[in-house]
Amino acid sequence: MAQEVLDVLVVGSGPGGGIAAYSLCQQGLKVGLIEAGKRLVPGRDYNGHGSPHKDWEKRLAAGFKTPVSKVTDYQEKDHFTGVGDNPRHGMLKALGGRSLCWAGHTLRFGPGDFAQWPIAYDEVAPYYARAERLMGVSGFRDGLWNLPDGEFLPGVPLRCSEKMLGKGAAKLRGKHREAAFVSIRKAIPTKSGAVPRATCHFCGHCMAGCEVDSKYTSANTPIPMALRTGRLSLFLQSTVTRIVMAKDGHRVQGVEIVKADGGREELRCRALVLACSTVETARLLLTQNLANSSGQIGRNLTSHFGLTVVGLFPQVRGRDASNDDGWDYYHSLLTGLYWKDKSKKFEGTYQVQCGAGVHPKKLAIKWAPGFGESLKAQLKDWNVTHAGMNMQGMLLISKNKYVDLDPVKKDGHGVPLPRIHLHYDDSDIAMANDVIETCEETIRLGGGTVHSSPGKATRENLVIDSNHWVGTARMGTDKRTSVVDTECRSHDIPNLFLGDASVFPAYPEKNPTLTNIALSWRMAEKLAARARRGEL
Amino acid sequence: MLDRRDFIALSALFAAPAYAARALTETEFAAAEEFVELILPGSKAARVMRYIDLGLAYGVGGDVASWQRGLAAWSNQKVPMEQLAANELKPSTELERFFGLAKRAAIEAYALSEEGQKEWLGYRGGVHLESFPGCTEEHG
Repeated sequence: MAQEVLDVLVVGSGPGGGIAAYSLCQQGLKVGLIEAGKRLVPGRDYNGHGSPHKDWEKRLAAGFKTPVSKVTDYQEKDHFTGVGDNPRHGMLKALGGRSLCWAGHTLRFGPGDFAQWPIAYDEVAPYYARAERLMGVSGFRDGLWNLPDGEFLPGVPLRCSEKMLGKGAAKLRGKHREAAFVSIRKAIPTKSGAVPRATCHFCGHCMAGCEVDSKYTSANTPIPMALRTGRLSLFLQSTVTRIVMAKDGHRVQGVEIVKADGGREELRCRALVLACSTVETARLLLTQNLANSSGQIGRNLTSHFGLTVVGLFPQVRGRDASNDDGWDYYHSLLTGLYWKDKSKKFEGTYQVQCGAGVHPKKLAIKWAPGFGESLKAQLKDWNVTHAGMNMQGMLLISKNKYVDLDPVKKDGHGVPLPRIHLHYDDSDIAMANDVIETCEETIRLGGGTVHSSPGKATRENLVIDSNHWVGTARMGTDKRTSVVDTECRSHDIPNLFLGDASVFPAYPEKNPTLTNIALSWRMAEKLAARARRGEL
Repeated sequence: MLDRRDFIALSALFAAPAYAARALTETEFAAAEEFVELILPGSKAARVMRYIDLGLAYGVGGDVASWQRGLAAWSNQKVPMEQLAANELKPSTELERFFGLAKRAAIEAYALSEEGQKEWLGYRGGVHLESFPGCTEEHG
């Protein structure tokens, strides 16, 4: 019997892969979605509502090391080699991938950001709108030109210390600094009936995994919708080890997978979408040196990086601090900095995610001097009155940051591990120092005092965002300098498409997931149009 | 009707069994409870050492040897807590290092306990809210 040839195979079920699978199925194509992990059930496989003390022994006996049941992207071990300034790489093998443990921050890139792309904001805007409707994004309309408003459900207000930071940001503007202080926007519905998922109940467990499945994930929205079309085949606990090329060497014929039982199988397709993550997609292509006539695969790597400054606002000491859970820690954003200002001494832009409140399962301030009742009182007071400011800066794209293959280490299937090279440039350090200065000034202008600050940025005290890597297979119109075209199709292999953030040719300060989803949706529509025209 | 003797017998049946230390010895556990209670009053009632000892038994949250060395130093020296606290940023002795170790572990465990959350921090979260009010007060 002849082997079935699916129209499209999608590798990776995270934000990009999930939406691609849904869109392709919706347009009548037969799709196979390949995921290395299994399906996790919210509330059963992760549930932060338990009592840490009561559950502790049970969890330890089961091999868990955290007192609270959560889904995380750092449990996967030995899946990459880091070189340089402590690169980290998050990975979650599960249906839905890292959309299970993302914070849900849903920010559009703006027209200013797309000025560095080969496609304009207007080209992506309709996909942003469609994604926001599907995802159920809540937020306030802020009217910022480079952080465009979307189709929002009601937003969530700030906590008291964050409002004080907002006052500080207003005074920054009074000193002729570009600055806006806004509530964060999240793919979590605040209004019942808006999307077919539970409405948020404000327990604050978003990043630990939403146990009531209110937060948008690939596993709770696009993948079930794709399954309902009857055109999606799921290949769970299946790891792609090789892309199988047709005999002519110019087209993809399928992929080889290794299943949970160790058996190998070849799946056939007319088109292949890689959405395995920026690092893993590059790794897979580099392993066979595919789609790499430009030599750009693995290059142009960037992410967000940062540090934290904490302020105290004694003015809010008497507030009701009995339930600060809200929408997880970060409720607000200091943004707009350097969108237009050309006086800066570094490349790129940054934003500052801000949070506040007493969170017993993850105290923001865990140390105060002394002992006894005074220690307890001090710790409580600091947690009640604090606001945390966490830098999210664009890492300069340079020759000092890239992905290649580890020449020695391999995974359990014999595939070389990816090696992530991160060496901060002077511009990165300069940006971080500007952040420290700006955060400290914002705290003081808001009437607070600086509780903790790195004081000075160094390569040692910067922290890379392990989940925001983008850019190893950049989009472009020139095949000599880019990997995919503006439809996210390989310049070299006409039936190979990329559905993850590896295609980002430039990166602003904003979180990548919404843009990843919008671009992947757009890619899937273009791919389906080609299929209809018989071009696959 | 239950008489007093029946009531006591029934209460014993339903009472939580006493915790038998896993990583530390019973003597060390008792000394640790005393030490941690001095650092963070309320820890004993919140069963903070039970939480810490369980973690140590499973290799989570530090190593048993550091606790044992610290507790031995504590039982030999009985240095005033004020002195340990005064040197906590630059600890130079076994006991001063142990003060920092026990303090970090106790703060985390206490904050995770129901007693710590409710009585110390005044936390009333982890409940279903229709909407999150945010800050409803005006400050400075």
